[in-house]
Amino acid sequence: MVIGVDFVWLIPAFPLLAVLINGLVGHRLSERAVSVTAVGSVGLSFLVASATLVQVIADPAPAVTALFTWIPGGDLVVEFNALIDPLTAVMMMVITGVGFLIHAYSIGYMHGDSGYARYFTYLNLFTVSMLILVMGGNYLVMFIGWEGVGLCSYLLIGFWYERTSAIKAGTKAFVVNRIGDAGFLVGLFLIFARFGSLNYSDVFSRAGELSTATATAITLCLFIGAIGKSAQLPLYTWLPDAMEGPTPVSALIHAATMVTAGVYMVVRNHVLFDMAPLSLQTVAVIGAATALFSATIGLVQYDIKRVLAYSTVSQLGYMFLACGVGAYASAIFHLVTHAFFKALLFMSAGSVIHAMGGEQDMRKMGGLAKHLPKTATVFIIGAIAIAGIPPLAGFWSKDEILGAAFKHGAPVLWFMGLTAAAMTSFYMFRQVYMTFYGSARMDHDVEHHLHESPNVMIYPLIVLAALSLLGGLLLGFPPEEGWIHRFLGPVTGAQAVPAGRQEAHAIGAIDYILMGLSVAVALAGWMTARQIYLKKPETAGALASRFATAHSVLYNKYWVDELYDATVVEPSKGLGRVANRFDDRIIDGIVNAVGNLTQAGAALSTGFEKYMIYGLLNITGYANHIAAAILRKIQSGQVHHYAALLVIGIFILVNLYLWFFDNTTVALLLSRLSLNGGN
Amino acid sequence: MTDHILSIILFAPFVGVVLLLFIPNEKPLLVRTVAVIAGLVPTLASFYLLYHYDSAAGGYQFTEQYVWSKDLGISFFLGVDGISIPLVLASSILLFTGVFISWHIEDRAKEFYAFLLILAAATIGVYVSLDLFFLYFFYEMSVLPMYVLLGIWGSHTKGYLEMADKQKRDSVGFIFNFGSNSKEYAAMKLTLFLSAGAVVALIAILIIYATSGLHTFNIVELQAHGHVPKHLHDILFLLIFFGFASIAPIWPLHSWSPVGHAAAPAAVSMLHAGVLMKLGHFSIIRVGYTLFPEATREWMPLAAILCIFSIVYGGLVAYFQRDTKYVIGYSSSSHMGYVFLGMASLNVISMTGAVLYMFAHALATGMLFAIAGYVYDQTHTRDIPSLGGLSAKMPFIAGIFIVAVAASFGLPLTVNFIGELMILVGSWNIYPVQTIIAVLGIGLTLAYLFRMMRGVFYGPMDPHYAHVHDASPFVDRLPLLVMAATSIYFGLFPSQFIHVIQAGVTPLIAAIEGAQQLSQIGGPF
Repeated sequence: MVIGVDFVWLIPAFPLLAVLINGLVGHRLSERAVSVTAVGSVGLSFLVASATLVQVIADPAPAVTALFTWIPGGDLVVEFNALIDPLTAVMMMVITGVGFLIHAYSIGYMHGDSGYARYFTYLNLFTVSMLILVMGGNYLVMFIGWEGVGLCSYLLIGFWYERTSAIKAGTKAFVVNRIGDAGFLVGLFLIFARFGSLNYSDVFSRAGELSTATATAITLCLFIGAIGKSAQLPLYTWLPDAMEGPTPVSALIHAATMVTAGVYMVVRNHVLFDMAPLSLQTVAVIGAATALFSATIGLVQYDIKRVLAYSTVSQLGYMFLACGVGAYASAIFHLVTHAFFKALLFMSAGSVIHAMGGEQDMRKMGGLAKHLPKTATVFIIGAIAIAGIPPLAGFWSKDEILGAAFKHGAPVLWFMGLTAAAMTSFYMFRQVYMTFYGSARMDHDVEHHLHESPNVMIYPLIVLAALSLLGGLLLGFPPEEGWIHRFLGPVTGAQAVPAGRQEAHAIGAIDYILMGLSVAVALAGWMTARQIYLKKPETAGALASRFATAHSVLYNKYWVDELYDATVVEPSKGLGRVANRFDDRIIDGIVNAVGNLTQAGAALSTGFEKYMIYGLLNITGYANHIAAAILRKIQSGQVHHYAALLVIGIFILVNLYLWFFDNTTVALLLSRLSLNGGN
Repeated sequence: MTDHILSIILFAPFVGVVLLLFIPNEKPLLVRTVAVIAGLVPTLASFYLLYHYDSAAGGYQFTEQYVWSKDLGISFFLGVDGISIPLVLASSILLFTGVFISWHIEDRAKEFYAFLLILAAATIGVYVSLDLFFLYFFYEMSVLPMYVLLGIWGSHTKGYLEMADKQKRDSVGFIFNFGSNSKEYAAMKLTLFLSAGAVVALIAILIIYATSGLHTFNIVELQAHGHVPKHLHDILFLLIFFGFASIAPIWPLHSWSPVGHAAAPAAVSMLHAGVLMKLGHFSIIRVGYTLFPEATREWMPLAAILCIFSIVYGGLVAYFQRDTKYVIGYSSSSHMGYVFLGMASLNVISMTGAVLYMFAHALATGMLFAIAGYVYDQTHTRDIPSLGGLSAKMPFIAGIFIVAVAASFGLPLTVNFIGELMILVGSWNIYPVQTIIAVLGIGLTLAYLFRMMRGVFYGPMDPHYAHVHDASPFVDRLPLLVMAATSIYFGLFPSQFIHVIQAGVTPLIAAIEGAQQLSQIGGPF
C-alpha cells in the first residue's frame, strides 16, 4: 500500500486550492506565481493519481471512501463519496497527466494575456470538476462534476468575452448540454424511484431486479445526457462552435477530457446498458452515424481548429460504437489514445495559430514546415496516429473497435466506421499538406514574423507525440488482451465479450483481414490527400466545382445549425414573444382593467355622491335657504307687524278649522280630549 | 435570553426603528450603524435557531405566548418549526445584507432604513406568528412599507425617463392616474394587489374564527381541537390558497411582481423577492396545510398545473425583457413555480425541497438584485442592450454574478441545487410530466440568465461606461460575499437544514396522508 484510499481526496484538493489562491488573489500575483501555483497543483495531483494507480494495480477491487453525508434527506440519502477502481484510475491519469501537459503548454500560450490568473483559475476549476466527475461514487457526486465541467466549459469558451461570437458559442454549448442533462436527471429520478439509492454499488449490485423496459428507459435517459456532453448526433452542434475558446482549452476540454465524460458514464453504467439491448443498439448506431457524419463535414472545412473539432466528434462516435457493441475496454482504450493524439493535434495547431498571429484559415497557410519544424513533426505524428496507421496509438484502439463491431454482428456499422476511417485519414493529411507543405499563401508580413513556439509549449508536445507513437503498443498490445484490457477487466467484466467470441479468442484470420483493411483505407486516405493537396493542388478546386452541390452541403455542415434555428430556436423565441405580449396585453390588461373598472366604479359613486346624495342634501339646503329668505322677511322685529301677523294667523286657523271639520268632528275631538281628564 | 429569542429576532429591527427616530439625518454613519446592528442581531439569533432547534423533538419550539385579548381569543403567540426557521434566517440575512446594499442611499436615509427595518421585521413577524390574528396583522404590515419604499426611493421602469414625449409619459392615464412605467404605478399596483389577496385570506380567517367553536385565533389549538364544518373546508382552503398565492405569486396572479421588483430600490427588491413572496407559500402551508389537510390533498393538484405555467411562462417572458430587473423579476416568479411543484407533490422529500428552495432562492435572487442595483447605480441604466463589457471594469461584481447565476439555475454545490433536486426527485413519482417540463425549464433559466450576463458583462465595452468602478472593498463586497458564501456553504453541508426542515414537514405530510386514508375508509364524507 502506497497510500490509503482516503488520500485520493488530495487529487482534486490540490487544484481546488490553486483555484482559491488564483481566484482570490491571482490578480495581484505575477504570471510566474500564478502559473507555478496552477500547473504545480495539477502536477501534484498527477503524482497522487499515479500512486493511486499503482495501488489499484496491486488491488483492483473497487474501494469507496466517503467524506461526509451530503444530503441526509430521510428517504434520499446521498453521501459525498468516491469510488476508486481501475476505470477511475485510468480516467484520473488522463485528466491529471494530459491535463498537466496542457496546463504547462498554457504558460506559453497565454503569456501576456490580461486575464492570465482568471484563465488558470477556470482551468484548475475545470480539472477539479472533471476529477469529481470520474471519482464520484454515486450519480449525484458525478453530477456535481458533470455540471461543473459544463460551467467551466462555458467560462473558457467565452474566455475572451469581448468577442460576442465567443460568448454566444459558450452559451450555446451550455444550453445544448443542458438539454442532454435534462435526460440525465430524469434517468436519475428513474434510478432513485426504482432503487431508493443513488450509489453505484447499490444500483449495480441490484441491477438484476430491473425489467428490460425499465433498464431501457433508464439507460436511454442517461444516454441523452451522454449525447449532449459528448457531442453526438443530434446534439453535436455546440462543439465546433466551442473552438472560439483558447486553443489549450479546446485541447483539454473539447478533445481530451470533458467530451469523453459521456463515454465514461456509459462505461460506468455498462451493467445497466447490458440489460437493455435496445439501448445498446441505439448507442452503437448513434456512435457509428456520428463518426461517419462528422467525418464527411471534416473533409471540406478550412478552419484548422474546426477540422479537428469535427474529427473529435467523429472519434467520440467510435467510442460510443465500441460501447454499443459491448467493447467497453476498447472504448476507454480509444478514449486514452485519442486524448494523447488529439491534445497533441490541437496544441500543435495552437502553435501554428500562435505563429500565424491568430490566423486559423488553412487557405492562408502552407509551407510552414520549414518555419516550424518541431511543430510540423509533432503534428504529423499526431496525424499518423489518428489516421490509424500502425504502429501508432490510434491504429490499435480504432482497429479494435471496428473489429469488435464486425464480430458483434454489425457489418453495416463496421462499414460505416471503416468509411469514416478512410475519411479521417484523408482530412488529416489534407490538413497536414495544406498547412505545412506546398506553397506559402500567407501575407509577407505574416510570413516574416513566423517563429517556432517557445520551449514551454514545445516540450508538452514532444511528450504527447511520444505517447501518440508508443501509447497504443504499451497499453493495448496485443489487441483485446493488452494491459489496459486486463486492467479494466474487473470493471468492464465478462459482459464485454459477446456470445460467440469466446471460442475465437485467439487472433484469427478474420482479425488479420480486418486489420489489413483498416490499414489499407488509412493509407488510401493518405495517398488521396497527398495526390490532391500536395502533388496537384489545383485538383482540389476542380473537384469542389465538379461536385459543387455535395461540396456546398458539406461545407455548410448540412445546414443543421440553420435547421435547428428554424425548428427549435425560432419557434421557442416566437413562443416567448407570444407569452411576452400576452403578459403585457392580457394579464396586465386584465389587472389594469380591474383597476379601471374600480376607478370607473369610483367615478360613478363620486357622481352619485355628487349629484344624488349631495344633490338631495343641497336641494333640502336650498329649500331651507329659500324658505329662510322668505321667512326672514317676516321677522322684522317690529311689534305691530307681529300683532298683524297674529291676527291674520288666527283668522286663517279659524277659517281652516271651519273649512276642514264639521261640528260633529269637533264634538268628537273635544269629547276624546275630555275623556282623558273627564273619565 | 434564549427563552425570548424569537422576541429578540422580531423586535430588534423595531428597536432599531425607534432609535433611528432619535438620530438626525446629519449623522449618516450613525444611522447606518444602527441599521447594521438591527440587522445583525436577528441574523445571529436566527443562526442560533437553526443550530439549536431540536429536530428530534420537532413541533413548535422557542414558543412565547402573551394573552392580548382574552375576550376575542387573541394572544401574541410566537413559535417556530422546521418550515419557518429557514425563512426567518433568510429574512434576517437579507435584511443584514440589504442594509449594506443600500449604503449609498443619500435621500432621507434615516427614513429609508426605518421602513426597510419595518418591512423585514413584519416579514419575520409572519414567519414566527402562531396566532392567525397576528399572522394577518404582520402580513398587512409587511405590504404597506413597500408602498412607501417604492413610491419614494423607487425608480421608474422600462425606460420611463428616456421617453421623449413628456406629455404622453406623464399623461394622467385612466389607469390609476399614473403612467404605467412610473414607480407610483408600481407601488399602487403592488399594494392594491396584495391587499386584495390579503382580504380574500382574511375572509377565510374570520370564517375559521367564527365556525371553529373555539373562539380563538391560536393555530395550535385550532389544529388540535377546532371543528370547522367539513363542508366549509374546500372553500376555506381555496380562499386561503388564492388569497396568499397572489403574493407567492402563482400564475396568473403575478402581474404585480415584475413591475414591483423593477421599481423598488435594490435592497427592497432583495427582501421582496427573497422573503416577501415566500409569505404566500408559508401562509398556505401554515394555515391551509395545517388546518385543512384533506382539502390540501384535494386541491393541490391544481397548483401542480398552475406551477407549470409559472415555470415555463415566466421563463419565456424573462428571455424577452430589456430591463435587468424585469428579467430577475420574471425569473423569480418562474422559480416560485418550483416551490409550488414541491408543495403540490405532498411528500416529505419534495416538501423539504420546497422549503429549502425558498431559502436558496432568497440568497440567489438577493445576489442578482443586489448586482442589478449596483450596475444601475454605476451606469444609471438597466437597459440590457445599452450595457455591455462591464466585466473588464468590475471583475468582482461579474464574478459574484456568475455565482448568482450558477445558484439560480441550480448548479450542484449551491444550496439551490439541493432544493431543486429534492423537489424534483419527490415530484417524479406523482407528477412525471410536470417534472420533465420543470427539468427542461432549468434550461430556460440558463438561457435568459446567460443572455443577461452576455448583455451586461460581456461583449465590447461602451466607452460611455469608462468611469464605472468595481465594488468597494468592504461595504459593497461584504453583503455579496455573505450571500455567496452562505449559498455555497449550505450547498456543501445542507444536512442541518434538511434535518430541521424535515422535522417540520414530516408531521404535516403525515396528517395529509392520514386524511387521505380516512377519506378512503369513509368514502366521500
